[in-house]
Amino acid sequence: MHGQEAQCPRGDLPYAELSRDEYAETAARDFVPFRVSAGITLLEGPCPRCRGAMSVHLVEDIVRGGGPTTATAEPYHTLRCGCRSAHAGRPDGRTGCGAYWNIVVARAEPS
Amino acid sequence: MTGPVLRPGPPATPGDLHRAQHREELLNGAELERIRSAAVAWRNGLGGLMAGLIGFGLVKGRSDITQLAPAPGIAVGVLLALAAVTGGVAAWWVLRAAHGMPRVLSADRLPGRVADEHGRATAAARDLRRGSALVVAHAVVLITAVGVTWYGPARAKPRVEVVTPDVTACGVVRLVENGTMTVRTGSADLRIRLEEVIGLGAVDSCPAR
Ligand SMILES: [Zn+2]
Ligand SMILES: [Zn+2]
Repeated sequence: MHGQEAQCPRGDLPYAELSRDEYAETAARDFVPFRVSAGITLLEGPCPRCRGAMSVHLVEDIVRGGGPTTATAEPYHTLRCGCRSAHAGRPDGRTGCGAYWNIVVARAEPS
Repeated sequence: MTGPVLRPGPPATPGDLHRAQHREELLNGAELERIRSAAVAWRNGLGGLMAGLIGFGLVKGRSDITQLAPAPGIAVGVLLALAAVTGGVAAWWVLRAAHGMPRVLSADRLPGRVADEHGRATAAARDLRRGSALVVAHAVVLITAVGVTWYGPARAKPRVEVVTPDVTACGVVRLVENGTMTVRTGSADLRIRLEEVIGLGAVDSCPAR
């Protein structure tokens, strides 16, 4: 497995907010989902662009102002690269290399 | 048992990225703190209402319910009991949303920080939703109790029974003047000379004739 502070293999890539079709396919293959508790799933894997290690918690509901609302109206989740290396040209308050993609978390079903 | 499986989603758009960033900000920006501070506001509001209930100081039209006719008096009592119950349960939920409830977990079952905080935030939000609904119910019941106390029918005034050798009159004394007492019995006024009165007493109600 990867360490928490694993270096990004492609730390030389500049920050760019972009998505390519193959990101979703690569990530669906590489990422490992863990069910943390009811309504929370942890995804761990490498960013499909820079291969930096990342993990993200997916939640079903999110607590805003007064009460919880559904986190996503869409049947998919959007993931962003969360690698810890400094990619050149990254604005303050952002993480990763800028790559993003959509992923569907489904219950295991016999195929 | 198998966990969830991943499938590629549809092509991602800048809109998706925007939503994801917003979601992250909400999740990382102290979800729990947000719900806790909302709950504290509700707690303070409920505190004011409960103070009104306990002191019953809201009731100024009539200072207490003993002047009410028996039926509305009972209704006010029931409403106040209901207000106490709704207020108490609302307080329980709102306070639990505001401050959480200590629980003992075995250390190896402790969830991760994100899962833990998120779990507590959603639980607190649930508590707050139920609690705030009950705060509103509590206020409605309390205001209804106050309204009945103010505008409900008054307890019937005591009557007098006046006895003379000729007649027994029961009713409300209208006037006492020049040695004569005017008693309204039903719809008629009866004039009675005071020197003829051999018996006089207060009664709760007059016998039906
Ligand atoms: Zn990346
Ligand atoms: Zn990277």
